[in-house]
Amino acid sequence: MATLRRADVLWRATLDGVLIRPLGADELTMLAGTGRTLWAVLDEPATFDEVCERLAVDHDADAASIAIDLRPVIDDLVERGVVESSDG
Amino acid sequence: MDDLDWLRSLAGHGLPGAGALRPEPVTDARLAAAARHRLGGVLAAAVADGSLEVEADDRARIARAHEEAMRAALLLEEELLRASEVLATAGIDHRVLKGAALAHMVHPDPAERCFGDNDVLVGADDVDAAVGALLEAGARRPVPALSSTFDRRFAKSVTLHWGGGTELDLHRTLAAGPYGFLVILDDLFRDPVEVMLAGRVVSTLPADLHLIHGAIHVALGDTEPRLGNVRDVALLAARPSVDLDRVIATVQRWQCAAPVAMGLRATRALGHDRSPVEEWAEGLTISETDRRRLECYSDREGRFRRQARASMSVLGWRDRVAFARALLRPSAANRAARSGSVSR
Repeated sequence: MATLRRADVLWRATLDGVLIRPLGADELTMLAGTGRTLWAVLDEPATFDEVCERLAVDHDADAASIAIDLRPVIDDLVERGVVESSDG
Repeated sequence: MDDLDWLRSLAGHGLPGAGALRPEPVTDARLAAAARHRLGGVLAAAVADGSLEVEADDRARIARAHEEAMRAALLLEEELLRASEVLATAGIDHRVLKGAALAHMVHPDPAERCFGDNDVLVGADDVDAAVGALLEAGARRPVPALSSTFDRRFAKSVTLHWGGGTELDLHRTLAAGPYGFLVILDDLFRDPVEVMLAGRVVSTLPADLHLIHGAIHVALGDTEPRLGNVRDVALLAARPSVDLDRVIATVQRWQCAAPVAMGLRATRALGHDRSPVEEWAEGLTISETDRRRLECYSDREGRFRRQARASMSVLGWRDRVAFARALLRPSAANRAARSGSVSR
C-alpha cells in the first residue's frame, strides 16, 4: 500500500514546518520538525517502509523506531484528509 | 541602515545583482513594516536559506508572523477556488490577478508571497452576471453600484466579501481613472496561463500582462506602493518569457506606456541588475498628456474626484454623460451604504 499527499489540499512551507489546509476542512494541520521531511517524501507515492527508510536516512535514526512513531501520524493525516493511502 | 533601506534590501533579496542582506536586528517596527509591505514571506525565506542571520527571539517572531500570513493566504486560496468554481458554473470566463496567481507563477516558493485579498478579472459584459452569481453563492456586497450600468461600463472593480471575512475584488479593468479606460480589455483574455491550486486549474494572465498590470498597480495604485508589489514587478521583468517587443506593443496600443514605465522605474530602489524591459522604462520620455493624466493619481486627497475628471478626456460623449450622472446622482442604495460607512 502506498501513501501520498492528497491533491485537494492547499499548503505552504513555513519556518517551522508545513501548514496544510484540506479543501473544506475547518482545521489546518501543521507538520513540524520531521513532518517537513515526511511531507517532501509523500510528494510521490511511497510505501510505509520506504517512508521510514527515507526519514531514517535524513534524520540519522533507526527505521524500526521511526516506524513505531510514524504509524499513528500517518493514520491521523489520513483521517484529517491530508494524505491518502491506496493499493498501487 | 534605516528602516526603509532595510525594507528595500529585503524587497530585492535574491534578485540578480542585488546586495546581500545585512545581519541587523529585526525590530518590532521592521517586522510590522515587512508585513505591511507584504514582505513577511521574503523575510522568512531569507532566514530559512541562511542569508539573514537573526537571534533566536527574532527568528521566533518572524516565524509566527509568517505562519499567520500563510494561514490567511491558504484561506484566501480556498475562497478563490470557491469563487472560480461559481464563475465557471455560471459560464463566465475569468482570470486570477495578482496575489495568489503570482505566488504560484512567479515566486520561487509561494510561501514568499503574502497577500490580503483575491483579485479576479471578468469581461466587462460579464460583470453583472458575475456579481449576481457570487452574491447567489453567499458573497456580500458592502457598497451597491453607483448606477444600474456603472459596474460593467465604468467600474475598476466591485468589492465583495465572503463569510470567512475575506475580500474579493472582481475587476473589469486594471486601474481606476483614465488609464483604466484605455486598457483594451479583450487583450486580457488572450493566451491564458494555467495555475494549479489544490489539484484544480485556475486561469491567469501570461507573464507579460502580469508585468504590465503589476507596473500599473505600482504606479497608479497606492500613493506609497508596497515594496512587495515592486518586487513582483522586478521578478516579472527578469522572466525570460517576458518579451520586450510584445510588452512595448501592448502598452502603446493601450496608451499606458507612461504608467508602466513609472512602475518599472520604481524597481530601481531594489538595487538589482536591470532587465531589458526596465532599461526601456528608464529611457521613455513621458509626454505632457501623460504627465497630466499621472497627476490625478498622485496625492490621496481628492484623488477620486481628480481621476473622475481626468477620465472624461478618454471617454466618448455618450459615456461621459452616463459616467457624470452616476457620480453626481448615485443610486439611493449606494448613497445609503456610503453614508452608513461614514457614520460608523
